[in-house]
Amino acid sequence: MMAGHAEKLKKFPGFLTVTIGCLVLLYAPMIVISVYSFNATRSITKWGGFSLGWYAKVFANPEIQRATVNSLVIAVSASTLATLLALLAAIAMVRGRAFRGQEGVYVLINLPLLVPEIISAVGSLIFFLAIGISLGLMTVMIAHTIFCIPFAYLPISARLQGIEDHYEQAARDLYANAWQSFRYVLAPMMLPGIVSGYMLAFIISLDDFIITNMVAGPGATTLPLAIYGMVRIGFTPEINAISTLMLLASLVVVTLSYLIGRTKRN
Amino acid sequence: MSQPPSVQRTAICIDKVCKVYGPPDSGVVALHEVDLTIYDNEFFTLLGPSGCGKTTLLHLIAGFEDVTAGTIRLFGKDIVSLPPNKRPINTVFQHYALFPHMSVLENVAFGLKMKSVAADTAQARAQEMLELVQLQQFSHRMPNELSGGQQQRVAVARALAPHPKVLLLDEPLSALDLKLRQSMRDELKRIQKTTGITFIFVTHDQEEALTLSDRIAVIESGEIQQVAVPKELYEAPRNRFVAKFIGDVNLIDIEIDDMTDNGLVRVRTKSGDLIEAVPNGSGHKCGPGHVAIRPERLNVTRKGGDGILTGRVRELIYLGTDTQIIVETEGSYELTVRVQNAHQSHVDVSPGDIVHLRPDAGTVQLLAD
Repeated sequence: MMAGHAEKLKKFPGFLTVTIGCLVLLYAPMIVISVYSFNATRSITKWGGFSLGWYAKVFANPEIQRATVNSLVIAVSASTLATLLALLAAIAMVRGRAFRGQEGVYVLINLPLLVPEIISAVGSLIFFLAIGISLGLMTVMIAHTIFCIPFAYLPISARLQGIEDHYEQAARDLYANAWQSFRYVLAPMMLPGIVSGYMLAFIISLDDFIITNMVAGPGATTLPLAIYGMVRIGFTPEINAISTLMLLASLVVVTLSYLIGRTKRN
Repeated sequence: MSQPPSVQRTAICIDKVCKVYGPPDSGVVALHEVDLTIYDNEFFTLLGPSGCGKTTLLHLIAGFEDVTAGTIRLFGKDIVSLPPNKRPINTVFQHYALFPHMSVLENVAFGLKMKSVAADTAQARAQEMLELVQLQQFSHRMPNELSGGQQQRVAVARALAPHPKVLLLDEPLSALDLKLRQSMRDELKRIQKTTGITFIFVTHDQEEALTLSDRIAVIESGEIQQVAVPKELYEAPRNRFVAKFIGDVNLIDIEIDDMTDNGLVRVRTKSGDLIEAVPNGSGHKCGPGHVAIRPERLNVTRKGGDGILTGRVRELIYLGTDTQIIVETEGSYELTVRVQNAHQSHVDVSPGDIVHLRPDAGTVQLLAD
């Protein structure tokens, strides 16, 4: 009787159906896009046999090549800068002395997560125009750096919070100065968090559309912008191919970030 | 009373050191004006219950925290303004704090590397230290591949490698199980004798303190209660806290009667028995006070009389090597007597019997409070 009751408590009628519905909604579009990227014909709805032709076309397209270079340059520089700033912020917040308004600073660091992206985008645009910076690669980099900070900050500060300050005490006790204690003890111990944060920031920058669209000047077209431009002209499986490649890149980086982030947390 | 075993150099001199957490006038006082002298080559123990201030004192010596007032001198040199990396003092941490991303050898060589010792010299010296703690074959393992006891020995080797003038040990045995703790105790004592380095050992375990130390400072509520060699601490505790903290004791409320010819103090218990107690040197006036008698220093006798306590046996507790006799006195206080079972003839009493208890000469200690 008791066991029967326990069984009943654990059962949620319709749970499976809802789950499957959600999964289909989430992943079916991506699967369709990926499958049709290998289509031999121009159609994106009728299967005409397997081909890698659209991939070949993507790699040969000079516009896409330029956009890829732009995207990588922006993602690398913005995520590097954002990780560096996030690291400094995390050390100050976690290891520094408690100060008045600490909670407020925490909110401030993570604000880009909460503010609607379109607001940040318009705000950034107005800001750049107001101080007279002409739009280009540089403005995209700056805007990306800012909104990547919280994505880098969260894994880094989580990692740092998990490291007891005994290790730094031990390092200082063994004749390391403040820099050496960071360089030889704290930084290597934080590395998984730093790498995880960097990768997260990288992928967020790589995938961003709204802010980039606002602040990108001529010659600063990134991959998402290029794809959007192509869609407006006409849908071909070439778009499917680029999208599939970006999806793959995101998947790999996010998975790595997750795996590295959780290593050695014994 | 608390002279060192021989005339020695002072390693550490702690002079009127105060530590207050928070604002100086309204914060939490961890240490009140502490004065302490620790000699070179000494195995010195700071003993006290948790929260008594012993770890704070250790952190002040290591430099992890700043003193609020007072000075700490290391071989005559004031070190309070130096950061931890400028003090020739190393620490063995309670939870080892071995660097998890470095091999055992790299851990042990870390201090030497930071002191810019040449790499090959550092390696050789680290290897030598690992031999001292008998872990030479583990030098290329990572810390998480070692057992708790092995990690502890690596922590000791790491702290000793840079040749510190003083080694601080913060409850280093508390994370180990009982068997391991006993063997590590012998090991620590051996290492201290071999290296001749001054050890300052923090513990809340009185047995550990008694077996390891040359001298012990008992700390309570941020104040030093007594500094003495283990035997003196056990046999001549200065006050009630020390008497109760170290071993089992009978504390008896008494009235001080007068001095006797042989320098002892005659005291009267609440049941009217008169006994002679050893004064503790801080001068006594007539009036209420306390004496301490260890349970094994009371002997059951047949006759009553002068210098003898009288009561009724309430309970006998068999403890293997000893038997414990609980005696109720007329003054409504209890006495615990411990008799070795080897002397079986002395224990032929049963509950309800009236017994007379004679303390061994010179073992009744008059306390300062």
